[in-house]
Parts: sequence; structure tokens; C-alpha cells
Amino acid sequence: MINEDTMARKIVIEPVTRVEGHGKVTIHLDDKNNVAQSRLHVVEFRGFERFVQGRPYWEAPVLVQRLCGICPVSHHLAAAKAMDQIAGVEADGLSPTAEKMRRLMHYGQMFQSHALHFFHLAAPDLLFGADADPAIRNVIGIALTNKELATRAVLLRKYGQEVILATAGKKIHGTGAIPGGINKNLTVEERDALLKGTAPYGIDTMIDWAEEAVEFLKDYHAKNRDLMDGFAAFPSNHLSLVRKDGALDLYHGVMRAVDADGKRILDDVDYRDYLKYVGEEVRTWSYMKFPYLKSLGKDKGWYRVGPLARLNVCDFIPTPRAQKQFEAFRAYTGGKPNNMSLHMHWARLIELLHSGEVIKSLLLDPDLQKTELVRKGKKRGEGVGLIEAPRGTLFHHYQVDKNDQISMANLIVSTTNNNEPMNRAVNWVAMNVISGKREITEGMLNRVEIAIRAYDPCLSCATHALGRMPLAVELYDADGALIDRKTR
Amino acid sequence: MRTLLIGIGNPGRRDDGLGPALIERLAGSRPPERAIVSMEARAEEHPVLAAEDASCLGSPCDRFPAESREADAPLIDISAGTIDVFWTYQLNIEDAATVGDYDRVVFADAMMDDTEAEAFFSPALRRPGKAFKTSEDAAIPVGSSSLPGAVLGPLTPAASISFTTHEMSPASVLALAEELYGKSPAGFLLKIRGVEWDFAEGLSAAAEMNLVEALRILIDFFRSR
Repeated sequence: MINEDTMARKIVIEPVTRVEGHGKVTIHLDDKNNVAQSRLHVVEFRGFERFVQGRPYWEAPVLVQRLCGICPVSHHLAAAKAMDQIAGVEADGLSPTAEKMRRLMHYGQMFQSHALHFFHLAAPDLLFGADADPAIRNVIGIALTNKELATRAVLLRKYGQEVILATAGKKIHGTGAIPGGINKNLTVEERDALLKGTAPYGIDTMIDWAEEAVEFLKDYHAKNRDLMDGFAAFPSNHLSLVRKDGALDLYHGVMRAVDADGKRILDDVDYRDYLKYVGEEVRTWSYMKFPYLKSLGKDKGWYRVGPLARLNVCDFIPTPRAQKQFEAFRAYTGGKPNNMSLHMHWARLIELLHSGEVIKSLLLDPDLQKTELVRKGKKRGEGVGLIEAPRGTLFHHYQVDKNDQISMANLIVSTTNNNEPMNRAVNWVAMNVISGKREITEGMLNRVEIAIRAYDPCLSCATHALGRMPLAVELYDADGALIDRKTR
Repeated sequence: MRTLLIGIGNPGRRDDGLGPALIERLAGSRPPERAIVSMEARAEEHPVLAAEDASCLGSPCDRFPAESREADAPLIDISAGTIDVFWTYQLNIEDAATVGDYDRVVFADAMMDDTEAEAFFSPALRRPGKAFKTSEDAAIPVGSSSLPGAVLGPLTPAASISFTTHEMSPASVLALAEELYGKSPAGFLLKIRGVEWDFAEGLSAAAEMNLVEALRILIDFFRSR
């Protein structure tokens, strides 16, 4: 039970990880039970940078995949893009085969990750609601109540993994990208298998299903506008890569940032100069840094990254079916940036559709069967690779010494970029759902989770470790003594 | 009977790699992540399976004195079926389809601290003579704890929820296999205690000993069932 003492109290929502990573929400109440402060803490070890130091630079694209068991391709390609520069090859200097193979790998990664998120995190919340029993509100509940949706989700993810397998050599932790290029092309057999799919489903079916998922979300939105539009909505800046012509591009481009009204903050700048534009604030209470745009300062320069930010930043989507959905998405906010956290799910599914379309267009491109795989140039001592990972912009920055060994590594993962927005989302729940209450219900806890879940924090990345996160709630009195504890 | 053994963990995080290390010891070398290796094909020549030399299990060798083994019995009796193994950083939804192809599945994972260990080592599992033997009689104290270095117990399918796609429990994989594919393999969980979690490869000395204990438990389990 919750202590009814009206003294100031601290509620701790603590997902305990198996290894060292902790995601923890602390909510401080005042003596009237109103929320005085909320914080999301994520323990981040900066150890991985040290892990790669001293290793030959060409090993980095393989080594960094150990950051994550869910999106290793993003780390693989971000590191490869940085190592391209160290090998003396610019991003637009790769052979067409190498660049398109990498793109195919990346969009396969995006496809499987977004499908997984929809099934694993979004659908349970949307179908069952925040007040549903956690015993039902999960992937098993989806399998029980909507078997077709669950089966489709598994097959969508499986398809994306097959694309990764064909391009990276393995479904997870592949070795396809190397400094200056790629180590294989796509055989005709591999191409045909992906076009037709492993029976009975091919790429056309995958695209159809992705589009139906967008329609499912839109239908849900129409029936649940208050929740979708109001939950954890707050204005923010948005940052992502875009193609030089303003198109959505998840693999390569220039850095663009807009404010909550759509005004440009970063106007298509070269990401290799990211240190000119992005700073990282250290706050004493958090292990994870808080990135910000230097031109706006620490207080106003924080930004969102990820699907919502990408659709707010780009001018258009260069595939027809996703573009049609994008137009509806942008029209909903009158062409202005969308600042509604749960619309992240909508944006994510539009990207799922876009990724399917890109995969198909690449599979039909004969460049993938050509044989120029690697290019070389004059070696340099430094490289910066940026990529739009499923959860947002991912920065990899390396320096190498005269022995070709990595002497410095700096990584800003998507979850770190979203640190402040996740804190804001949790604060919204604290202020709107928990404040003034004398009891923490299951539904309140669920809403805290939903707020965080929209961003799908990659705690494996942020903490550089794999972990397990059962939820615990601890209640402390004004003196800091534990007076109650809730666990799931 | 078809058995699947899954080692879970990150070999680049010291003792978090206990699950993959277990697979490596059984397979002879570490296979690529998620590459399924069949023990059946290696039964005759593999030192663990053929019980020719316990030193392959790690040190110290005297934890497996030759005289304690039945003279002609292999450490793992696979005459009644096959044992497939693979390792992975973390479980995910597609593993539900994989486990559905087997009659029983053993998930092997590192366990971190006393809190988690205490929760897992239920009184029932601590009692000697249980069908699912723990290593209580060969406990390896680590730090201030006297808990066993490894323990094997039954696993019941159970749904769980997370706020990140970066986690799916073994129990959830079993539950999803049941609901999505109508498959209900018998589930078991082998937890192995680790103490070091830094960014480096290789197990700590304590974890190495616990890995030996885990192998012993696993071998006993396969022999007895």
C-alpha cells in the first residue's frame, strides 16, 4: 500500500537490469502529494569507447555490433561510414554496388525493427489500453486475441532479417560492410528469394501488410484521438539526417533540425562537423548525457530524434505509398511539426512502409549484381559516421593513430539523443496522472511505461550491455526511508 | 527426443558471456551467433560428449574425477535423441518458432547478484533429492554469498511486459510458442553466477568455476532424463 503520510515523498519506479544497466524513474512529491520533480535515470557506462581503443580500425564495424542485440546493423553501418573516411573514401564515393548493398541492409534492419516494435510494444498498449492487466497487455496477449496480427508481425520481422542475412552474411551481427565498401554483392538467387520471399510471402505482401498496419493505426487514432493526441504531448526541437534535396533518407544525408514550429535550426549541415553543432551536457543526477544544439544552449537546445523527428524534419518521402501516408500525417498538424509522443507509432509505421518500398526498389536494381565492391583512397586519421537508426540519429566518431589503431571513439546513441524528451514524457505522466494522487495504481505505472515505450529506449545500447528490466516501485518517506515497494 | 540448449549473453561483457561460453565448451569452439550446432553429429569424437577427458570443461580437472563416472557411459546420453545448441545476445519473438521444433528447451544465462539469485533459488529448488538437481552439494562461494555457482530448474511459460524491445524472457518465448504455434516444449532454465561485467572478453576465475559446475549439472540432467 501507499503511505498516506502527507509529508514530501519520493516514489521510485525502478526497472532493475541483470547486468549494470538501470532505467529508473523517480518522482518526488511535495507535502500535498503534488509532483515536485520527476526524473528518468539511465545508467550508462562509457566503457565501450575504451573497448575499441587500441583495436585496428577495420575491426570497428564488427566490434561495435556488440553494443546491441536488436539493432547491430545500425552500429555496424555507422562505424563503417566513419571508417570509410579513415580509408580515404567519402560517403558518396562508394561504388554503387557497395552503397546500395549497405542501403538494402539498413532498410532491412529498419523493417524488422519497426515491425518488432509495433508488435512488442505498441500493439499491446493500443489494443488493450493502459489500464489492462499486464498479464494480458503483452505480446502473448496479442497472440491470444489477434493471432493474424501476431503472425504477420513475426513474418514482417523475419523478412527484414532475411534481407540482413543476404546483405550482411548473418541475420544478426553480420560483417557485410568494410571500410571503403562491402564484402559481397547480391546474387540473383538471393534477389529472387527476397522478391518472391520464402514461401508464401514476398516483398509485395510485406509492403501490403505494412500499409495495412498504417491504416490500422489511423483507424485506432480516429477512435482514440484524446489519448493519441494528448498523451505526453509537448513541443520540442527535432533533428535527423535528410537527403540533400530534403527527402527522408535513413542511410545518409545532411543534418537538419527544426523547432516546434518548423523553423530551421540546423540548415542541412555536414554531419562530420557535428561537434560544432551538438554538445553533451552532464547532469550530476544522471549517468546518461543530455545532448543539445549549441546554437540554442543547454536549456532550449534539446531535441527529439527517431521516426517522429524524421517525419517532422524531412520535406517528402521518396516512395509513393509512404509519401501518400506522409501527406496525411503532415496534414493532421497543418504542415507543422507533430509534437505528440504517441504519434511516434504512426510515424514508425509509415517508415515501415517506406522501408518495404525501398527494399523492393533496391532488389530490382541491377547494380546489386555488379562486382565493384571496395574503393580505396588516401588514409586519414579521423572519421565521423551518422546514420538514422530505428530509434533515431546515431553518431560514431573515431580517431586512429599512425599504427592504424583506434585512439579515440565517441558514440552518441539514439537513446542518449532522446534523453531529455523521455524525461519530458515521464514528467508529463507524473504531472497529469500521478500528481495529487495518494496511491500508485497499476494503470499509473503502465502510463509511465507507455511514455518511455514510445521512444523504445535502447538500454542495451545506452548502457552498452544486455539487461532484463522487471519493474519495481519503491516509496520513500520524507526522510528517504523506504515505506512501500511494488514489483511486477 | 529433440533437445535445444540456448546460451544467452554477451561475450564482450566478461561473465555476461557465460551462456555463450557454455555453448562454446559443448560445441568445441564458439559457433557464429544463432548458428545451430547439432551435438549428435559430434557425439563420438567430442570430449565432453564422449567423456574422454574432463579437462575440456575447464579447470580444475579434478572436479570431474574419472573414477566417479560410469565406465562406459557417455556424459551425455543422446541415444534417445538429438541435442542442438546455439547462443545469442538476447532472445526475441522469432525464437518462439525455433523452440517449437523441440521437445524440450534449456535456456542457459548468467545471473548477476545475490538478489536475483535469492529470488531464483526457491526453497523447493534448494531441497536435495529434487528431480532437477541443483549444485547445492558443490556450491562455489563467490564473494560474501554461499549460493551455488549454477542451478537448473523447470521453467513455466509466462507472459511478461517490458518497456523496451531489448528484452524478452525465456518464459515469454515459451508462452509465445504455445499461443502462436501451439507448441509446448518442456522448458528449463540454467542460471550460472557471474561476478565481473566489465567491457572485456573472457570469464572471471569464479565464473570459470561456475561454468564447470553448470556443465556438470547439465550433463547430469541430460543423463538422467
